[in-house]
Amino acid sequence: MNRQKPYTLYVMLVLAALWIAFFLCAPYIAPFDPETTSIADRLQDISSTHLLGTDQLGRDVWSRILYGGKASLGIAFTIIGISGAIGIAIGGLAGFSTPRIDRWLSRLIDLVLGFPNMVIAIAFIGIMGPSITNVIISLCITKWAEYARITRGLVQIERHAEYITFARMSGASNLRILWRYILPNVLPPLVIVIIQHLGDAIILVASFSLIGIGVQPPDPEWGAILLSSRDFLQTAPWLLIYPGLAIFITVVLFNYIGDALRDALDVSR
Amino acid sequence: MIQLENICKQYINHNHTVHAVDNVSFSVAPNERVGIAGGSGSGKSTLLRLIALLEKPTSGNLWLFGKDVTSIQNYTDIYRSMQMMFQNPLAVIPPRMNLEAFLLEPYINYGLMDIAAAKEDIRQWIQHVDLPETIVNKYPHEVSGGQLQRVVLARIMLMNPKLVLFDEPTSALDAVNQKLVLDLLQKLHREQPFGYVFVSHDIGLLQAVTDRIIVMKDGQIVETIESKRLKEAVHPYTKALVEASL
Repeated sequence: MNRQKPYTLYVMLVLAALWIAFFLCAPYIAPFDPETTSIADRLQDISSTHLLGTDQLGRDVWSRILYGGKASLGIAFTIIGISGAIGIAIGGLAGFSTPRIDRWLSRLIDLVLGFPNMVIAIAFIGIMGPSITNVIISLCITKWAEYARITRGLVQIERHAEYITFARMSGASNLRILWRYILPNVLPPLVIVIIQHLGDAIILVASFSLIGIGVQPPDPEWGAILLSSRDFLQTAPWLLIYPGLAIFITVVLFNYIGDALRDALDVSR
Repeated sequence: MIQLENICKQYINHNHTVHAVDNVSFSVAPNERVGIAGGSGSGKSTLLRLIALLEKPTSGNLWLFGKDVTSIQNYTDIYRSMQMMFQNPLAVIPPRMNLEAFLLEPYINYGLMDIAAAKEDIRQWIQHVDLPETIVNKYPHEVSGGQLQRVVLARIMLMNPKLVLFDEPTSALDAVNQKLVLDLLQKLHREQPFGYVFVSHDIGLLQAVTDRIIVMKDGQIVETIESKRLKEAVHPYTKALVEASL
């Protein structure tokens, strides 16, 4: 197949791999323990000892951002992975099954989509208590429905395509149609959506921490770091700028990967 | 080979009943070439889809290869002997499947032969429909409409069907490719006899490729005539179609 190589995608994937690996290596490259306080070193500016300065409790900001990245990315990947898998399975079943099953599953999807993410999550965490596990569960409860709706729509379009009719006439079973015809055409757009949602998930987890129902201090997480630093916006702005910048770069990177992937998977290009 | 008895197909559209096919009866003998002509909305394509078992009739009986198919649920055995060629070849080939994988599908699904033998058979069929062997490595969007339609024809013929249903297979092609596909169809029919039903709005085209033409208007058959005696048509609608095709 004579197609232009997706160099932009390759560059973006390498950058994302490096970016993720960087945070995964936090225990090895962070110069300080992210939770060790030192009141004598509080609110220090950038120096050779503290690359990004220190916070109000004298903790090294660079080390906290490294560890925070590990937590933020881990939580976002888990949320997207779990809700994506559930959503694709339920949406695929709704789109490919009988009208009766489709009707019931569609009602369930609409019902879940009717509730705002935040309200459900706040209610869930209010009952179960704030923790990383509860943040993940509370977001998965509603987020799967978004992927289910997209998957159902894509499968519905594919299953009525003329090539499915032609495949049935050449003896293809339902399982083969699903595996050989529908999945290869449905997965690429879904992967693009899921990757672009990774950025949203990072912001959502950070927002939860920011309003105090996500990751709890002193655990480092980008949103939690922002929360604990909000009183120092004027006196020590770096406490908010650096974690904010880390969130910004991550979100932009995943959005670019989504765009590059969309271009690369477009078979007509 | 095909027998239709009082076949009706109705749709409800905004509380209004549309009689897409209205009390149609006819039969097609083995290896017979039958054309169905008519204007837009005459019901010819719906009738073909009913024969292809893609839609269920509202009433009436349909026999294919001697079997009453109005009540059966699994069509796999019927499709082993009956194939359909659609208008747009690009729509019948999955966009992410290369042409070799597309051509291999019936061999795998019906267990016709092992993959190595199937690939060799595909190579011969591709030569037979006057296409370069390398075309099998391409994806549908990399091939012209005329070439794709010949690939589709090869896939249909490699199943050695007894009956093929053609739903305006040349209407999306230019005049040169239209002639290529029609000549190829005639060549294949001479070599490997099979019956077919060819639907087209162009009655002149049907005269060239069929033995008998059924003319439809408003879901009903208005006239059935031998192709070579088309000029002797008596129904005004048939005469109008003949005049329009000249």
